[in-house]
Amino acid sequence: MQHTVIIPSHVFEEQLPQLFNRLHEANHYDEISIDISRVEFLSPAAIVTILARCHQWKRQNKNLCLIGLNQCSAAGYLKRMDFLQHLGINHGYEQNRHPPAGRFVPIQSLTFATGSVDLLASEITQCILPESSCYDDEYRLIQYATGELLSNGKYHSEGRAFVSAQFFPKRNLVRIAIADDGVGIRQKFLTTSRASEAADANSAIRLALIPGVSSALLSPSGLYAARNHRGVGLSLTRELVKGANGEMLIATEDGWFYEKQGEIVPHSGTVYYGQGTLVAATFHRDHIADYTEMHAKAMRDIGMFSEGSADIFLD
Amino acid sequence: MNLEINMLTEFGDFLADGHVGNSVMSRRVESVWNQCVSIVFDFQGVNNLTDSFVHATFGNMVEEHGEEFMKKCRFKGCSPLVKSFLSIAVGEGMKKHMERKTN
Repeated sequence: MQHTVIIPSHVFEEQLPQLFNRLHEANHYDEISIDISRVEFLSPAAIVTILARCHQWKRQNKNLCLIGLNQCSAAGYLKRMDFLQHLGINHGYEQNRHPPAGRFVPIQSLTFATGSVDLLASEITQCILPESSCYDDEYRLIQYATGELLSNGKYHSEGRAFVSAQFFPKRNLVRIAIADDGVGIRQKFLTTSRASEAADANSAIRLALIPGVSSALLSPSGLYAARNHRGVGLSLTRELVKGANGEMLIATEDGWFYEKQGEIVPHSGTVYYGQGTLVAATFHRDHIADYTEMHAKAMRDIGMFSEGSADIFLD
Repeated sequence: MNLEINMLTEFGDFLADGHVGNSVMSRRVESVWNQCVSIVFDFQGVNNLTDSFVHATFGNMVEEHGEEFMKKCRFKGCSPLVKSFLSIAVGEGMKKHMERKTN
C-alpha cells in the first residue's frame, strides 16, 4: 500500500508535532513518498527528524521515494545540507552540490562506530561560528553543547543518528539538532534500576533530565565499565540553554518536552515522534556572556557544586 | 614511578568523549596506579571540555581511589574554565567516595 507524506512548508520547533504525526501515519505503509514540493524552510530539528524516520523505513525494507524536488523552493539549501545524499532514496535529480557557504553544517551521520565525538563537535562549531575564536565564550558554549548532544546520540541511541546545526543571522540564533531511530529513552531505561520510573515516554524524558541519572553504561573496555555515565550532559545543556535564553526540545515515542526561555511549553493533542529520540537546542548569541561563570552557575543550579580542594592544582 | 599524562596529546584541545577518556585512563593510568608515587595531568593547551568527559574519567577515578587520588594526583596547566570543571568533578567524586565508604 502506498502513502504520501506531505512535508509542511515551514517547520520550526512549534510545527514539529504536525511533522511527527504526518511521518507517523506512514508507518503502516510499505511504499512511502516524501513530498517536499511545498517546503520553504525546515529547521535543523525537522531535517534530522525526516532523515531518522526515512532511515528507519529503509531498515524495514520499505520503498521510499522523494517527490516534488523540482517545485521545492528550498531545493538548493537541502542539496547544500547533503539532505538528498543522506536520504539515499531515488529523487531523480542530478547531484550538483555546491559547497556550504558558511553559517550551516552539512548534515552528519553518527553511529556507535564513529570515532571520538570531539573532532566532529569542533568541526561543527567552527562551521557555524567561522568568525569566532576557540577562546570565545560563545564558541566554547556551542562546542560544549554540541559535544554533549553528540555523545548522547552516539552512546544512547543504539542506532544511526543524524546531526544538523545552523546559525540564523537575522535572529542571532544557533540551532543544533540530533535525531536517531534507535531504542529511545524509555527503552534504554528499562535495562536499568530506574525502569519503574520510566513507565512512559514523558516520564523517561523527565528522568533523563534529572542530574546524575543516566541510562548508558561506560565503555566495556574501561575500568569503570560497570558504572553508568554520570548523567550530567543533558541536564547541564538544558541549564546552559536557559542561561542563553534559548530553547530545548526532546521528543521520543509519544513523549514531548519543549522549554522556551526557561518556560515549559506543553503541547495539546497527540505528539508521536516514533522510534528513537530527537534532541534540539537553540541558543541566542546575544545572551551568551562569561561561559566559565555560566557553566559554574548551571552546575550550582542542578545541585552539583561540591568543589574539590585547591591543593590538586599545581599552578 | 612518577607519571605525567599530557591531555592535549592524548585527547586534543577539546575533551568531550567520556567513553574515550575512560578507556585511555584505564590503559594509561589505572594499569600502573599501584606503581605510581605521583601522577600529573597536564592540561596545557586544552581549551574546553564537557561534563560527560570530566565526570566519566576524573569523577569516577576519584570515586574509586578517594584520599589516595588526593595524595597522588595533581593537575597543571589548567585555564580557569578547566579548573572549574575539574574542581567540581573531583568534589563530586569525593562525595560519592565518602558515600560508598559509609554505606
